[in-house]
Amino acid sequence: MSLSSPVGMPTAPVGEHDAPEDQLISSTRRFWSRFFANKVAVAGLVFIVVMVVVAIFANVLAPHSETETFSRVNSTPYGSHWLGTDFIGRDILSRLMFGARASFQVSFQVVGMAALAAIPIGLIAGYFGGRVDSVIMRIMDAGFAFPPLILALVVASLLGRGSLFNMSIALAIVFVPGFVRLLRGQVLAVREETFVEASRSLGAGHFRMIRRHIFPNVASPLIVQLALALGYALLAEAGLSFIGLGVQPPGASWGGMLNQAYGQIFVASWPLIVPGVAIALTVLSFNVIADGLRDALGRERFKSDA
Amino acid sequence: MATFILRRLLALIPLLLLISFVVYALVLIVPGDPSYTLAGGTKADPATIIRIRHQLHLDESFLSQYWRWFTHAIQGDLGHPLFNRGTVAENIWQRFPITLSLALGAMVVSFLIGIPAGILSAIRPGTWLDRLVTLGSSTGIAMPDFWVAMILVSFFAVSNNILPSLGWVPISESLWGWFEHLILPCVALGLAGGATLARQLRGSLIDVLDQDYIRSARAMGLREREIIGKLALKNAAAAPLTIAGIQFAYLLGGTFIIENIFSMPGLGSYLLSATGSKDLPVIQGGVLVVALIFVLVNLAVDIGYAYLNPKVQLQ
Repeated sequence: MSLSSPVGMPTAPVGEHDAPEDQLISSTRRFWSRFFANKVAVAGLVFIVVMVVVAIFANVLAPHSETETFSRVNSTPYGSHWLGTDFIGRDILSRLMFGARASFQVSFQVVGMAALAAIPIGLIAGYFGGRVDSVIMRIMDAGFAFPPLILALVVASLLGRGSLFNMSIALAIVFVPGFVRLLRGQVLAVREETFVEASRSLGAGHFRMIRRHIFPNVASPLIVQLALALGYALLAEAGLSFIGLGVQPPGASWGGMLNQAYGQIFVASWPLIVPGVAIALTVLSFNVIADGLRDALGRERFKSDA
Repeated sequence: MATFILRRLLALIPLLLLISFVVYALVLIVPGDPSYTLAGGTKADPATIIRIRHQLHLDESFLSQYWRWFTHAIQGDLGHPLFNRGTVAENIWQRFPITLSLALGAMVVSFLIGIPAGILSAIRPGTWLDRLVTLGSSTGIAMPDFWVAMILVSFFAVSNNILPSLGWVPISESLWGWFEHLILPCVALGLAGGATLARQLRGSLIDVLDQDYIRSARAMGLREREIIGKLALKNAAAAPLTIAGIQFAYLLGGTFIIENIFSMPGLGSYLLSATGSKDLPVIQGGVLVVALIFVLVNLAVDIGYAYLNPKVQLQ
């Protein structure tokens, strides 16, 4: 995992074993033991895992259905309604659990799609350099020229407002330029390392070079960025659901729940609290996981991007 | 420096061409026949479909549509809305001051929060105060701005009738009214920025305070106040200011949810309602203007960074 260790190149024969697996395993183990020593980051990870499980099994775990209405409306917690009821008497805890589906589905889809698109583009731009690099980076510059939330709003609306997948596509587009820029910068730094040069002089092909030597060495900063992006994507999803994109009523989403609670602001403030706390805790968890990953990888690798 | 700025301005020309192309190409992602979809899909009446097809020249080739739109746009003509009166450029021009006030106000809030918090935690790293700032800034970054806005409204406007919850008063009409209506939205928008700024300033100030010249200054008997105020802050300012500049650019395009909550007729809420009715000329014009401002602010940030940080090579 360390940049400075030449990955055993000159001594190893040009065969299948040119990346010493034991060394990789031991540094991976060291990385996880460092990460698990960080209590805050582990707490964040546990929170996310629990929330994802809740989202997946919401239909089993939720005490009530997403749409069933009860007689008391806008209520603080009572009886079997641990988090109270909303403006037409639906159970807030159950809606929170079903709403988690939209939030996690969108944020994982967004970051997954953006990474799938950005990884090859960034690797190619950084590895080949020259004209390929300048063309790719000029296009990415155009992507940076749009305020992210506006771009996502416009693309999602034009594609069709009622679909979670359209929202994911729109948000994924927004994340691609940042991932590409990060990867390309890292590749440029690694490209000049001696082990890469050694491998090249031994006649390794481009694809093999990128897969075996470049990508493993640039993957870790990307992973930290992906964790941060999950949080941003979740915030963006909440914002777009708040203004009516994505899950349509009577379905539940955290942003949509906040919107409905805002309509009741002169009557009750309680339904406004719960979804907001859920969003903030989830985003906070993604951020502390990212911080934990960064610390476990060693801060020195991130000096350049202040 | 002058050649640096000139070169960056020249580099903007191809970028702006590319941006305008991307903006116009938004028509391509409208599913189905655009004139039918924009007219309202299944609810569309045939006359509206024909009018829209004619107004947007949708029967011409894409490139000639783009060229017509682009040549008008560089002369300041962004066309007419599909469903309202007036021109797009006029409407944007009227609404922009509101969005600008919001973004500037939010910046003021984030400086007021971020600078003192960052300094306080950097001069006493590891203390309870530092931990409090770190915890506060992590939380501030994680909270959605529109949620903060609603909580503020609930407390300051609904429970206690201290501040208005809705609307906008032009500065020419009443200075106090303008200010009063801006407080809650600007605090909501500026909180996350302040948290980021505090975090950034803490980091770079701790790095600077660790330098030899600070130790020398201390050894020479300079007071801590002077060291922080005169030496350290100046040297630690570049990165946090860059972040602040980028935040400002983001804010100009990120106020639409807040404008919607506070019923402020700004550029953001104009664009938001246009996305609801799929009013393509408004969407294209609005996104073009926002992107243009975004690019110019980013350029100003780059120039400012090069000015503050002589280590940056001016190429």
